[in-house]
Amino acid sequence: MQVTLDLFRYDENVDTEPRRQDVSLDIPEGFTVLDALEQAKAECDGSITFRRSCRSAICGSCSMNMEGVTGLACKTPVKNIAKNGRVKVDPMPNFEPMKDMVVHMDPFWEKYSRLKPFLQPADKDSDHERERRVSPEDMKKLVAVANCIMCATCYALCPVVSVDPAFAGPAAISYAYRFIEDVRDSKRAERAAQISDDYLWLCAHCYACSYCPKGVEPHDRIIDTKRATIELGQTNAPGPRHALVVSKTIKQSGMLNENEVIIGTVGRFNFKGILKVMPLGLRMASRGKIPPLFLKPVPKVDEIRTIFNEMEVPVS
Amino acid sequence: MRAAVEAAEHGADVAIVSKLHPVRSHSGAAQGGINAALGNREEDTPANHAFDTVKGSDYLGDQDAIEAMAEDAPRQIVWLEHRGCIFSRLPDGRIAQRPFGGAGMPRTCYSADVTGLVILHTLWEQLERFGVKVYEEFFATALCVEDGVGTGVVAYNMRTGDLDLINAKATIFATGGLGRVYRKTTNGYASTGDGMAIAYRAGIPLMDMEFVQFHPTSLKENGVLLSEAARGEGAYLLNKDGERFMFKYAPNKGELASRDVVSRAEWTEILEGRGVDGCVFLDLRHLGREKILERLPQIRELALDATGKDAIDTPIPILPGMHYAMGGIETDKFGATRIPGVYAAGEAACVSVHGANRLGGNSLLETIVFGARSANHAVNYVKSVGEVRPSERTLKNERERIAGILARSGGARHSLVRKMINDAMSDHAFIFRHDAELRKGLDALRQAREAALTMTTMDKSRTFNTDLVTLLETEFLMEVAQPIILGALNRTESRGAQARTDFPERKDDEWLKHTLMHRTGPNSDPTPDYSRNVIMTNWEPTVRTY
Amino acid sequence: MAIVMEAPAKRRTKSAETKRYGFFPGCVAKESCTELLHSTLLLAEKLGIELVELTAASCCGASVLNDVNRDVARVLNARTYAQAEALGLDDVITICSTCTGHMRAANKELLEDETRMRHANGILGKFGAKYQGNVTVRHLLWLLIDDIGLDKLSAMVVNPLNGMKIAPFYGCHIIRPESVNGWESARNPHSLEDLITALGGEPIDYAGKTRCCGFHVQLEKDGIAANMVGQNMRMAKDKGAEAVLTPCPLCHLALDGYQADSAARWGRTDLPTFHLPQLVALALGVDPGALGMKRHVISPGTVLQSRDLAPMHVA
Repeated sequence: MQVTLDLFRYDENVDTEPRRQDVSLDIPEGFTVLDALEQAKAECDGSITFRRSCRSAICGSCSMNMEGVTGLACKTPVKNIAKNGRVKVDPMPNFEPMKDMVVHMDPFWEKYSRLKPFLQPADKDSDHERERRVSPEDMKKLVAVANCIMCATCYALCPVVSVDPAFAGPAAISYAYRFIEDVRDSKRAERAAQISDDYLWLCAHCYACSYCPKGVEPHDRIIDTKRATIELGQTNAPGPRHALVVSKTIKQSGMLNENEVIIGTVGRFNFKGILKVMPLGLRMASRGKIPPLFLKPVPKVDEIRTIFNEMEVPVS
Repeated sequence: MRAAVEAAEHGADVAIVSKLHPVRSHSGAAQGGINAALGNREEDTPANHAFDTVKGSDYLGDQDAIEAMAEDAPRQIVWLEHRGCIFSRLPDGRIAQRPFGGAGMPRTCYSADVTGLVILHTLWEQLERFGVKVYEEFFATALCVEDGVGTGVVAYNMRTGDLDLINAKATIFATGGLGRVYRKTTNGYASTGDGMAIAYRAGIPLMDMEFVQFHPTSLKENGVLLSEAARGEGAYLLNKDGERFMFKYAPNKGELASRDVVSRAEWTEILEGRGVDGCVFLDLRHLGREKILERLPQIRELALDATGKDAIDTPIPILPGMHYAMGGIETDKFGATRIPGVYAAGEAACVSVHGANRLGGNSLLETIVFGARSANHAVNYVKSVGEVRPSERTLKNERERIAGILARSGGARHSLVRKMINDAMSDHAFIFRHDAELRKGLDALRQAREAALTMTTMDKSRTFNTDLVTLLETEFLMEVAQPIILGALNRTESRGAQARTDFPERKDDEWLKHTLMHRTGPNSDPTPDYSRNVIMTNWEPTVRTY
Repeated sequence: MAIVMEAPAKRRTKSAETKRYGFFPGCVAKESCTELLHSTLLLAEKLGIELVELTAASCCGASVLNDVNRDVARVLNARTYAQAEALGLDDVITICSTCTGHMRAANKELLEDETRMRHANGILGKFGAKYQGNVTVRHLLWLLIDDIGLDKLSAMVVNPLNGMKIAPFYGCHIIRPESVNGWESARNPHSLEDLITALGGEPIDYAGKTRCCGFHVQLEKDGIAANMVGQNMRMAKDKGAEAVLTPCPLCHLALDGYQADSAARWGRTDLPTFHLPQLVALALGVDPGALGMKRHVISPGTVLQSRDLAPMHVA
């Protein structure tokens, strides 16, 4: 099979601008992008640079962008993504490039370090001669995150990271969840506070991280983490206030009451906050784009309230 | 990492030098599990574990070291669990265990089929906890020895292109295996025998290098490993007629015989025409979707990615593939080498606990037990010595050597030399070995050695020069390949993973001794040395059947 | 674990045969974006289809309800589906991407997991309702392409868009996660482009088209939504876009509302943002003055006039 790799080339110590290089190869049908890069490096140009190690989707080294798709090069068959016999290869977005497909990973690791990513049990080693007992169900909650290989694909795909690097990002939030849900850990409340401070609630619900190559489903883990932080008392911030007021207005009227939600999220007596949303409100109002001030409940709203009550859904 | 954490727990000033970020280590690819006689499913004792290991080693393992490992195993599993390792559990909350090849009972603790990954992450978490300094993406090139003691390493900083001197009173090589010596291997690109070659160059012998484990179930397409956990959970091996052939070779254990036995059986089936396209099949179908998804999800995924076939519905074509080096840097049972202040642990080391064949689930265990043991020994050693003399001359030598390599032109491309090494090993020193073939392999390696002296890089830059790193790795592969073939040629018997068609019998009178190989120079053959006898404590060699 | 994607069989619903659909407008179309609701109804009339509003339906959960309770949105949506079934409708049409994504997710969970279906019906039973599992949830965009057809739409155009350069903005919940939506590729969707072409416009290709508008986090941190909007609109503007087309009122609110705030970091973009049915209705000859375009913060008046589609004053 003939393929041309269209490669991003850049050396941070030499180049001011990236350039591109075409490398044409004859490869077997089943080759992954990583196989093709290896062949290109061995046979055509030894200076083509990328990280790789296990080539079996477990070490997390080789995430990059291929034809606009960010993922593991070792798990991406060339034939699945080549367009007209070409594959465009770029480094992961949301990172500073160092050389070709190699990027500076430090900001990503920093997000983990902030978590204090190690078990902090209340008990000591000496309290147990043997392993602690943990039910299979409690362990299973951690399994999805245990599959995470820290490849940073989700972090590279995250649109919030791209505009605000202070956001912890999907991988670190998932790892925070791994400790918050660990029955052996004693710092669950502290962890909930820490991850909330690292902008847990800045997740934009966009599901970009649903392309996790290892089935960690970070988007679901983020939702799990949010719920856990509410349970652990982290409710006094715009994020949890928003969720709880949405819940309240749906219970009251069957509908999400936009006015209520804005006020409830910003905080009814947060005049500074309200001032901040004012310009947009005025822009919209000047065009007549204002939600009704009073929202009539939908018919049979009592059924909806029954559902909320039966399921003991938290509201603000 | 286990060694670093142990040292950190003892208050030592410790750092890790690694060509990869710690979580990228190939230990993460270990799938199936880690052995320890916890007895959570059936009554078990460290003595049982030790015996199974001795038998698995075909009586070449040192029994004192094996007993120490089996004894320490349950403690180490508990240590990991206390630090948060996510083990699968039994309904009563204790750590689950599964059967593995060559073991008398379910002894392998696991986390689905990502056991290596969860252990790796637990250890990395502890590095974070203690703030252990990691020289990440530093490629070690040479061991420093001053006044007869180890004083650290010289390492190439991949980000800056500088060679740096990293001084240390004690150095532990935990650098993993050498799978890339062979054409097809379950090992990742990083398994290039770096630590073995560096120690070997510094004058430490390599031990039992001829014993190379071929894993019975690697994928035909790319050599990727499908864990023994599959057979542990009950998967079958089938030939082209759909026959479960293993019972012809191991009437009692069948698919769960030790790996050398299973790999030879598969290869025999294939050689005798009962394979399909040079493969036999791993059949998971009867396990059912639910069990596969719960216990073997990664195996299914790897097979699906490589073959497009879903193991839930289809048997997967597999064949034996280079998996593990039983041999390595010669150490004693504390991980110490002949040079004071220099240690080795894990696959890089040869203690020897695996002898002629390693049991599944004992490699992760070895890294943990001997990581901790070597660090303990090193911590005490460090207290007993004064300041080390920084080895400026090693730094100078390495700077000149690397500059010389970068300045070379017109020589052999390192990928070509690597192919020469791979062909020599895979064509002449595979599962079944023979005098004439091994001699051909040795000749081919000598040619490769000649070519290796002229290898050049195309990348001359100082930023993340992986072309240079790959060249240096190829030099290392060259170093460790020769002891494999020469050891295999000299050992005129069949034992464990060493199967000589011209010497099919095990010869306990002659060969209950380890092979040591001493380096003689960059372009000459190693010198063999058979002065180290196998240590036996409780178990006399008997006929080994499964 | 890799998700093995199987394209869902394109079953033609009973509603598609009878041209009578369940209609779920969602909260925003009934609150701040009433122009979306009105233009949808005008378009339906033009297309000769009947949209039967599920008047007693609740909010879909808006992706936010999951943050307080894992299961409640599923049960609320089961109640909505039960209403559709009671009206003899098997096809619920939405006009909001968030509604589409979350109602489909809930339906998938109900249909694929008996325990969850039993749980939902257990609660619905308290007020005598039951969901049988016969409902499909689709976006109006899919209805236009699958049930009406691009050829037919193209033939119905009386007011072609005259080459207007339009940036399609898919946003998130109508395409991702693929395991829930799966109607078209989430990485390379082209339905909006096809539609724009069929209406006589020129689709603009830009990387921002499948990215997030930031709506859901607009109140979490200052400037965050404006930045996400600015980043995407910059890309569209740089590729020559004159306007944006979106199937989602939340995207519309963010894109329309925040471009003024994003100008400081991303430069002025000022791209008017059309709701999907507005632009289709316009091309099919619905009176532009009836499409509520005066309610947009960024007026589409200039672009409409420059392409001879409507006089300035209608917007």
